[in-house]
Amino acid sequence: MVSTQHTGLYKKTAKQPVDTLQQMIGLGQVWSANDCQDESDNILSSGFTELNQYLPGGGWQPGQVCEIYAQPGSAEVSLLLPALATLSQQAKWLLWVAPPAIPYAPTLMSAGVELKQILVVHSQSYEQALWCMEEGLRSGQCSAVLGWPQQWHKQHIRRLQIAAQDSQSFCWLWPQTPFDASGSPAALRLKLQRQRQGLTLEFLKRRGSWPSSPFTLNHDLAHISPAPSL
Amino acid sequence: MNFWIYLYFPDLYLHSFHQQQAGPFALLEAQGGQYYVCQRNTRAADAGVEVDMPLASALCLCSNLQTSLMDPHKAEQLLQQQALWAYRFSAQVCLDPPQGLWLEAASMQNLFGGASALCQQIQKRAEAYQWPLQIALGYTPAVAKVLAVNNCGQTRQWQHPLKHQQLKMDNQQQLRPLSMAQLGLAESHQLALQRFGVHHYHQLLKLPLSELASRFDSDLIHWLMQLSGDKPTTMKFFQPPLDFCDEALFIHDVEHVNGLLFPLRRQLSVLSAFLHQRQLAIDHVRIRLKHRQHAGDLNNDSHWLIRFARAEYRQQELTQLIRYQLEKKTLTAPVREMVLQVCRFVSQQPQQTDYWPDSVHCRQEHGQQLLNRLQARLEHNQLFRLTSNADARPDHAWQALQAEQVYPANNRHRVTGQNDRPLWLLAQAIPCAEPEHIISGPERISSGWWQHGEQQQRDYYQVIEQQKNTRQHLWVFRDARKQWFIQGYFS
Repeated sequence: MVSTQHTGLYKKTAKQPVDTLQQMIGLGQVWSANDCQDESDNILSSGFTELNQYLPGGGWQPGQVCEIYAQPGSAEVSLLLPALATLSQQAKWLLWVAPPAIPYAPTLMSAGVELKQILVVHSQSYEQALWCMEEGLRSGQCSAVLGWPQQWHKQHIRRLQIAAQDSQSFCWLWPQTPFDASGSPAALRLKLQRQRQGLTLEFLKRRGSWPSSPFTLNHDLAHISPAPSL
Repeated sequence: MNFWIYLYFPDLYLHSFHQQQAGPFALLEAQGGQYYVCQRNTRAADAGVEVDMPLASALCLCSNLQTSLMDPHKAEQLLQQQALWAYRFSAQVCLDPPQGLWLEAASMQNLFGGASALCQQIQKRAEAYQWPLQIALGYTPAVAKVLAVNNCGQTRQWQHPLKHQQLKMDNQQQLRPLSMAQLGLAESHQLALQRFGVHHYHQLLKLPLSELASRFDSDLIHWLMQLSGDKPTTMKFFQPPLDFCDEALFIHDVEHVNGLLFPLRRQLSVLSAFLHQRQLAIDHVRIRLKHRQHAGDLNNDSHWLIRFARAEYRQQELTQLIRYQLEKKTLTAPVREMVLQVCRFVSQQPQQTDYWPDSVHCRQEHGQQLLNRLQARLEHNQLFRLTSNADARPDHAWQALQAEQVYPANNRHRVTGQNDRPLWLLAQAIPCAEPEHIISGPERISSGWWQHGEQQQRDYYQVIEQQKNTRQHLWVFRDARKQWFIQGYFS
């Protein structure tokens, strides 16, 4: 009598974690190292050696959403200009959704970004911005989608992450909301701080690695990769 | 020799209504201040509603009968629509209002592999649209019409090529047993012929024409001569217009935009076929919605103009694009009729084969598709591209380009001494206080003196603005009146 009770109890406790794990995998809350493909061919150099060292795979990987948290005006967009310059050589769109102001064309040109590939959307609402970003990623016609969403919802980030993964596009987001420490489906989460000695970066989440300790970029990002005067 | 196919669409007007789960329904005609039923659907017929019944009697028989008044102008348009459809089978289409069409068949039989094959194909295509259709082949237009209206010209296997003489003999056989009423004679003629014992066509044939001419007026003689082919029938040839117009009528008013999508899908499939045949594409469609209130008042219709960023002709893509646009709209009043119109066309871009899927052209083609979709969902000024101008003034150094505009070729200017420009530019410079921490500057930009009212003389500075815990790197200027403005910021 007692023993059967025990086995019953044992079975119950043993089964439960497995179920929960399967459930979590189904929901995409668990990242499995087996899914990691060797993307070494498509790795995009960030243009900064220190940053490349800290990025898993040695650069930006396609099909990954990266959330960037920073005070506005701390070079959080300029950080990407070298990568955007490389991407703009492809005949695909660079879709800017809901940027905080007008991207200034001469700056982009002097950083080597091809203006022809840029498509800017001023959305009227968060829902519209989200739709544009998802449509851009799903279409496979964007090399990268850059977004400044006004809200942050886990399930929406997950949709974007899946869309990016399916089309192997790059996606960088600058959520206009405070950092949510409860976790995110995005592959990368980066925190940026401008300090006197330079730019301090910290990966709060890195898919395929542990969160990093803060490190410093010693570049003056206002003057990155000046184009040679023609 | 020619021979003709007659297409008879019984109750054409009735079938132009979108009849899904419709109850008893009848079309009315006004005669002498009273309304009479002129067409009714099967549900109404089951309830005992007959053609030519006064409205009051019909309502007594069937209290939930829905009615609509027939509009002769619209009946004509409907026939034109059918003619447009029939135009794919024959180069010569003639209208026979209100419900018939003649198609010239002799020149087409080689193309379709025989006259019977042509008839069968027409019938098959019509089935897809669920139009009831009666079809007959005749050696004269009048014979074809009589046979089709009486539905006794069942298509048989004619040999190919069909001989005129053989068809004539067959037709005469088919006509012989027809009664005077079936021949479509006027009632006075029918009565007069009955009085001297002529009930069927073969009896009429035995009488010499000259004898008949002395007893009857010329109408009957003309009609008989048209039947025999001795006198040509006057026909109105149909010229297909190069504009597209398709109407959908609703029995129940549509109150929500989603209700329009289903009939719209059918209209777009017709439009897509129309475009495909002519190798054309469209960059806009017009949708006109007629509302229940204020009937007859044209000003109360809703007119929606839907533009695409790039010309399109595929049905699926058109449906998707229009769906996005419709999601933005709301109906001001219930809709009882929807008209889809296109009057401007562009030539189709050659279709890209997928043989070189990675070719630059192919990818650009695909890029256009995204552009089209985004534009369909967004407002006109929400989506744009960037171009640069060779101008020293910051707010003139760039320009927004509407997505549907052509991107200027070779949009690369010298960028000299502009490596210290901010990433973000404010659409409108914001006035600010005199900055405290200046990093660099001044940089004087004085330009535009050749444009009236656009002259600028500004000293630009890069400044750091430090508030409690934010530190912003701004780009500010001081204008000729010593006032400070924020132009943009670094990021």
